[in-house]
Amino acid sequence: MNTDHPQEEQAIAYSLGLMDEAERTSFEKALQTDSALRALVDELQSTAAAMAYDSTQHVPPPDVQDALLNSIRHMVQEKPRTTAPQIVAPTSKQRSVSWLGWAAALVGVASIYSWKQAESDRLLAENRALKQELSRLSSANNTAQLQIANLKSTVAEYQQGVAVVVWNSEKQEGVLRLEKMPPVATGKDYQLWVVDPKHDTPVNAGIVRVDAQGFAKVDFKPTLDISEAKNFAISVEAKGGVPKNEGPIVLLSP
Amino acid sequence: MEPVHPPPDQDLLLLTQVAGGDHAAFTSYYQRVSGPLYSMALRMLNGNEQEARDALQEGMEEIWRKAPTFDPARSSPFTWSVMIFRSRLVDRVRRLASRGRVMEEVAKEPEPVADEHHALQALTRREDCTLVRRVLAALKSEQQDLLNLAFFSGHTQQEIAERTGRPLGTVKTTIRRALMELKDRLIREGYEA
Repeated sequence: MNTDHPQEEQAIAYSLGLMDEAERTSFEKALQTDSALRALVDELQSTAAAMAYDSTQHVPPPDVQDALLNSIRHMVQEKPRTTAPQIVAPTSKQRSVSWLGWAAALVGVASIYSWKQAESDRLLAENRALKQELSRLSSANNTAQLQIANLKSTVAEYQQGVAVVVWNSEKQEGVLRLEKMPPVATGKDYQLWVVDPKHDTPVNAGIVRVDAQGFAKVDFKPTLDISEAKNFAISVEAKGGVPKNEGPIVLLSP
Repeated sequence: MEPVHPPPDQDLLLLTQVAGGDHAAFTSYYQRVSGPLYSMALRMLNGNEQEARDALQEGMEEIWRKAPTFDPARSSPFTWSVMIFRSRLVDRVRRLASRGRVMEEVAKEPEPVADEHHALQALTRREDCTLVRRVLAALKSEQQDLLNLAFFSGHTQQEIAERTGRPLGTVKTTIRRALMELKDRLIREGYEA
């Protein structure tokens, strides 16, 4: 855990809810631009939340559940936060993406898994559990043919990067989540490709723009139909993307 | 000591379904988290059952609304839910305090009530509850008192300093050390949020 951050004291006060409104508003501005501070707060909040158990435990009144279900029946949910533009991939028309909510969360789980993998063999078991869950989801919903892929790099600059794809072969759509990606040079963009043996060259799945923290979570749809998504790859290309891969592949799924 | 491995995947899957507008999943998720949340509300609202009930409903509605914004890369569903719930709860405590309707002293937990055995049996993560209580009890008395005040009172650090008669710097330092020590001890005990 990072305990050397200059705003550690504020992070503790924020995590425990000890700030007044003005302090909180100011601190939240700092959180938006400081990923190390954000990570510190996330860890501190995890510890603080454990204190919820330090109360005498009571069973809620049974009628609260019914009242709650009634009240949410027509309640609108907030939209998911996206911190980067959607992948730009030429597509004739939009399709339903209702399954993407599931997939996006699984990408989140998978990215956590990817990050931890190097730390502990214990996570191998979690990976199996994740795959089993994917399998369960696929079998529970016959229309969903989900495939998950972790992209890796042999280039030192990109080895900290975490890239996970969840691909729905039936819908021909996917979700990509990137973390800790270095910024690309001026005039360049990251571009996603799908390697399909049916096609001579990788199929364009669009460009991806990461935010200042190197993060992006985007939906994508390749420009051509994919028979078999053998690999997923990310390259660095000219800004705006190119129809065929020209630049260096920096991340590739096994 | 056997490490405790709570079942986060179940919470994650449920919350993901909640994010998709699934009412049945929300019912299941409510049943998994409502006990600790309601208990926290009762404590912060000094046993006022009507306010705690309203707080539970309001907080769970907020969890429903915000579920699509949950980011599993940043926190567990339980941590996220407690933080959202507590934020609304602190607002309620402060609002009531401004109307002079909330009692002042919440650092000391009231004696366990008769239904706690039943509540603990119903708790999804009984082991976590036991573990957290044991680890907190191992902190120094002053650390426990100030950390409890910090988490459950809804007061700012300045207010805590005034109410306890301690210098603000001492309050900040004690709370900081207590939280860090709690974190380290929980990690050593294998707690996973």
